[in-house]
Amino acid sequence: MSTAQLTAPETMHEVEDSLAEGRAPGSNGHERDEIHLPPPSIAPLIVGVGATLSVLGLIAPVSLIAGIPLVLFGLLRMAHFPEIEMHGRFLAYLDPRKLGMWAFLASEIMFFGALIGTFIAFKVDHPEAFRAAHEVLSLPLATLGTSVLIVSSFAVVMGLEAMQSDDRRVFFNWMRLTLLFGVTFLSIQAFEWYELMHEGIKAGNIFGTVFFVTTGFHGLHVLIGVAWLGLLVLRATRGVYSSSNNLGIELFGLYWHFVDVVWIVLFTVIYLIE
Amino acid sequence: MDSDTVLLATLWVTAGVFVGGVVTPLIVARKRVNEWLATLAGVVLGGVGGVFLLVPLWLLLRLRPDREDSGPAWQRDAISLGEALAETGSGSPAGALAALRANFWPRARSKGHSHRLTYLGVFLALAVITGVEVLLTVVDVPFAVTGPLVGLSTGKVMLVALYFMHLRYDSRWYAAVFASALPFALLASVILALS
Repeated sequence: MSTAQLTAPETMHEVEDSLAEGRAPGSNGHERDEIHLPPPSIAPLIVGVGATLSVLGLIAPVSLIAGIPLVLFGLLRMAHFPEIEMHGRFLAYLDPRKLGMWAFLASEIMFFGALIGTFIAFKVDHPEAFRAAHEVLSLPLATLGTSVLIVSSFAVVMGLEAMQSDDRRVFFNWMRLTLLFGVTFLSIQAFEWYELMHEGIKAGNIFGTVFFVTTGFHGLHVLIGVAWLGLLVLRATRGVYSSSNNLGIELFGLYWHFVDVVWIVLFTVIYLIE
Repeated sequence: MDSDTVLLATLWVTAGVFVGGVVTPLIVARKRVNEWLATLAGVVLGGVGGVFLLVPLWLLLRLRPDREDSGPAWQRDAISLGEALAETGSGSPAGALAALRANFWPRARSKGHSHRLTYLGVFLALAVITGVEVLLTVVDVPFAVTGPLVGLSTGKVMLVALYFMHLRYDSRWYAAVFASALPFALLASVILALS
């Protein structure tokens, strides 16, 4: 566990002054204001480079071999970060991290809004192709996936509630359950895609092209959520979170619930409405 | 090699590397093992053999002795579900219920109001609405189901946003930031859907 509490870096002038007066640098008579800074780290940079390489993997899959391990390596280093309290000046009663998360989710809802609009447009234009595809889609499988996501959303709020009352055993149980359900959802989706491809629904079809783009982007969000949750559990194992410091869990929760919300809409639009 | 084989091979390697890289460090977090080496092993073995090589690795790592505890006391207090079951007398329904409660029902907060029952209620409501939606689709009903389905899903979305995402309890500014994007999202979907 690394809890770094660095004092404010001194300017060269101050160091020179104190040396000239025969004092040790940093011990200048009066009490200094200590501010808490995170230790300088290149971990976010490593994650950034890895993520870039991973996205390049869409064009040249070879770069995934370097990209994914780099992302994981950087994330593992980030598990050592202490939580930082940030105090905004503008609208001081709002937390800047939470506000940022909501702004990000606002951009995400526009992104998924466009995808869903495209899906509906294709559906209106080609009713016969979508009716045929609807026969092939497995409603029981999709219902199972929906249930798994809803239970996992419930698990996250119960985990957060447990951490807010310092009940760590219950927290870990719910969070591990969420991890399991996230992976289960991805497995269900992988199985579904595999079956659909064998039924002749491929990315070249009219239905396939919108179906795979929409559910694929949602699946990518679940995948990122699973990686984030893995990091969160690892950080919690190191004792980062407590009843007075659990914003990190809440931010993850907001993201995870949003992914759940998107799936609730997709489930209705794709599987339920004929 | 045809393109399908390449795609499947890429998917296999990517999924294996991902699962190995995420799960392995979690397993060795409290073991006396170098976590970097363990993660590297997870990434390599996952990429090559997927779960077939990862599961033996994980079992092997689980057998390693635990790290000596230098951490805070709560880490030593944590017990697993199996231990809790043994403690409370497994076999009897009352014991199982007690173990379930000890492992999954959060303690009441020392200060402030706990939302445990609210969350449970919202979860049950979500489950019931999902059941009704599926029934409406499967059973032949004498009216158009599109309207009711859209209404029920909107209800579900509202429940998740208001209670699970805390919009009901939090500052209205967060809701305002999120809601400000809704008109644009709606505009984008409607324009695309009508084009």
